[in-house]
Amino acid sequence: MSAPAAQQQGDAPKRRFGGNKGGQRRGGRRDEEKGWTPVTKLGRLVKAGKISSMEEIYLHSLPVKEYQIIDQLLPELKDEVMKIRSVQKQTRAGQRTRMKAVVVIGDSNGHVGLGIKTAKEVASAIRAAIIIAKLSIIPIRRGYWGSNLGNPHSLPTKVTGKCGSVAVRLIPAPRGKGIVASPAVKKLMQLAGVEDVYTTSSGSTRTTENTLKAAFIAIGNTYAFLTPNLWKENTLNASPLEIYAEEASATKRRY
Amino acid sequence: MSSHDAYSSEEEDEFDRNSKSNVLIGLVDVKIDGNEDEPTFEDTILGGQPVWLHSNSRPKDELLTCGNCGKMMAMLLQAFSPFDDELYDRVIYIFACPDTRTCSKKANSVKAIRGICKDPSKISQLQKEEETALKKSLDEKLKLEEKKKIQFEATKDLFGKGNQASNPFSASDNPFSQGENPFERKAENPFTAKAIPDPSGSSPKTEKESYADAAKKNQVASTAVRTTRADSIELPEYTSYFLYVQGEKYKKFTDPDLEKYKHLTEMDVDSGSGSGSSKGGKGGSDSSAQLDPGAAKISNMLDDTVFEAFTNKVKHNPSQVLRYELGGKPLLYTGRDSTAAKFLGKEITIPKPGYNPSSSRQFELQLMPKAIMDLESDIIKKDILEGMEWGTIIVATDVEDYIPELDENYVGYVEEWCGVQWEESV
Repeated sequence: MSAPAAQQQGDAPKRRFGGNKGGQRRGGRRDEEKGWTPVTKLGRLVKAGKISSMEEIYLHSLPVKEYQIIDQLLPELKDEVMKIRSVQKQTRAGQRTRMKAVVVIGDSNGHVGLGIKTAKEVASAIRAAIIIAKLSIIPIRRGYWGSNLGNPHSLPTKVTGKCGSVAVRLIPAPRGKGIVASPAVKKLMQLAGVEDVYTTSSGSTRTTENTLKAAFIAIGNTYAFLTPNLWKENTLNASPLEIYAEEASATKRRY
Repeated sequence: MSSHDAYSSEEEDEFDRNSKSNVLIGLVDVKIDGNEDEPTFEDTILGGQPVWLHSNSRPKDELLTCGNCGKMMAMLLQAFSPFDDELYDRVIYIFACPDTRTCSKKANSVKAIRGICKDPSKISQLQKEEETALKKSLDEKLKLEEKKKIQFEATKDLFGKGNQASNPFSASDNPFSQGENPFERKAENPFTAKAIPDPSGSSPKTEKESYADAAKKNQVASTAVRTTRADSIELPEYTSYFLYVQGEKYKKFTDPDLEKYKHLTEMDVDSGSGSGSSKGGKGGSDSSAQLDPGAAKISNMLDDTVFEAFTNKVKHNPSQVLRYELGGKPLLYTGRDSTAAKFLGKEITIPKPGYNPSSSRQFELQLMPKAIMDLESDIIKKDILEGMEWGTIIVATDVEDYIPELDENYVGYVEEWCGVQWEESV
C-alpha cells in the first residue's frame, strides 16, 4: 500500500505543470503573507511607503480600489452606523428581506466617507458598508465664519447638496456655535471635523440615506467652490486697442 | 424566519461550491542569484533570463521585441507546462517591454511565446520510464489484489457465513480485509510469501536506475545551457525567482469583529423587517445622487464587482504570482476592457491561432499582480508613475498544441494570444 503511493509521488510531478522541482520548494517555509498584498499600483506604492498621505492621492486623482490603502494612510478613522433598515423585494416565493446599513466614517480632521450596502445579514451589510465608506473618503475644506483667527472651525462658504427629494444646505457659523443639525447630519459633520455650522434641509429628510447623501455631497462641494483666494494669479496683459491706440489716433482712419 | 433559513443555506452551498478549485497557483520560492542553483527549462521562474528549450534554438528576434517601441523585451515568466498525457517538453514564456513609460497600456508590448521540444530520444526515454512505472504500478496492484484475495481467503473461514452483507466483519471496516493489515506488509506472513512468486521483485531496482540516468542527463543538459546562457545575455531583466506550484486552497476567514455593533447585528431580522415595512416603501433611496460626470465615472470605477471578486479570490492566497488552469477560466481583474469582453460573453471569443486556423485557443495561465512586487523588488524608481501597471496577464494557447515547424533540434516557438488587463486610470 505504501509503495505505490511513494512511487506516484516521485513520478507525478515530473510531467506536470511547474516542472520536476515544481512540487518542492528550495527555500524554507517563510512567514505566510504578512498583512496585505496589494494588487494595484497605488496599493504597492502605499505599502512601500512612497505615498504617505491622502493628499498625494487626491492631487493626482488616483482611484483607490483597495480599502487597505485608506487603513494605512488614515489610521485614526472612526466609523459609525447611522441606520439599519430592512428592504424587501417581491419574488415569486414571497418577499425577500435584506438588511441595509448606512455607515459614516471619518477622522474628525477633514476626511469623511459614506457607505451604504444591502446584504442578507446585518453583520455583512455593516462590514461591506464600512469598506465602501473607506473607499469613498473625500477631503473637506474648512474655513472661517468671520476673521481668520486660529484654526479653521467652520466651512468657507455656504454649500448645498441634493439627493432624491432631500436638499441640505450648510451655512458657516460663528465659533462656539456648535453643529446645528439633525442627529444624522450632526454625526457626519463631527466625523468630518466641522465644529460650527448651521444647516437647513428640505424634502423627505426622514430617509436617512438620502439626507446623508445630500449632506455628503454638500460637504464635498466645499472644495468644488472656487473662492477668490484660490484664484490663479494672472498677469494682466494690455489689450491691443490700448497698445495701438496712439497709432490709431495718429492715422485718424475711420472704418 | 423560514425564508431567512433558506438564504443562509443557500450561502453555505455557495461556499461549498467555491471551496473546490482546480487551479494551480505559483508562489515565489527563492531568489536566483546565479551561484548554486542554475535554472533549467524544466523550472518555472519569474523574471531573469529565459532558458530556451535547446541552447541553439531560440525564438526569432521579432518575437522578443516590443511591438510598440521595437526594443528587446524582458522576461516576466517562464513556465514549464507539459501536458499530462504527452511526453514532449513544453514551456510558456511571457515577455514585456521594460520601458513602462512609453509602452505601458500599449498593444503588443506584452507577448506570450509557447515553445515545444519533441526530441525523439528524450521522448523514448520518458516513454520507457513511464512504461516501467506503469508496469510497476500494475504489478503492485496485482500484488495487492492477490494479497487481498489471500487475506480474504484466509479470513473467510473465520467470519464468513452464508450472508456476507449482514456480517459486520466482512464489511469494509473489517480490519483484516484492509490494506493496513499488519500481517500483509510483513514478508514473513506465511500466506503471502507462499502464494505470490513476487513478479515485481526485480522491477524497483531497474526503475531506480532509470531515474538516476534521467537525473544525470538532466544535469548534462543544464550545464550545456549554463555555458550558452552566460554568452547570450542581451535581454533586459527583472529580479528573478524560482517558483513552486501548489493547488489553490481556500481559507476560512474570521471576520473582523463588530463588537461595537453587537446590539445591531444580534437584532432579530423579523423585528427589523416589521419596523422597516411600517416605515413605508416610499422612502426609496435608489435615486442616484447628483454627481457631475467625472465624479460619476470615478464612483462607477469603485463599484466593480469583477475587481471585488478578484480581490476576494486573491485574499485566500495573497502571495500567488501565477494561476494555472488549462481550459479553465481566468480570474479577471476588471470587467470593462476588451480582454474581459472576450471571456464574459456567452462564449469565449479568443482569436483562433493563425498558424492553425482550424483549431481554437483555451485559457492556460495568468500572471498575478504580486509578481510585479517581486519583479521590481530591486529596481529603484525615480518617479512614482514608473513601473508596471498591469493587473493581470492572461495567456491562452492552442488546444491542439500545434507548431508549424520544428528545427533541427526538434524545437519550435510560436506566439500565443496574451490578454493584458491594465489598471484603469482617470
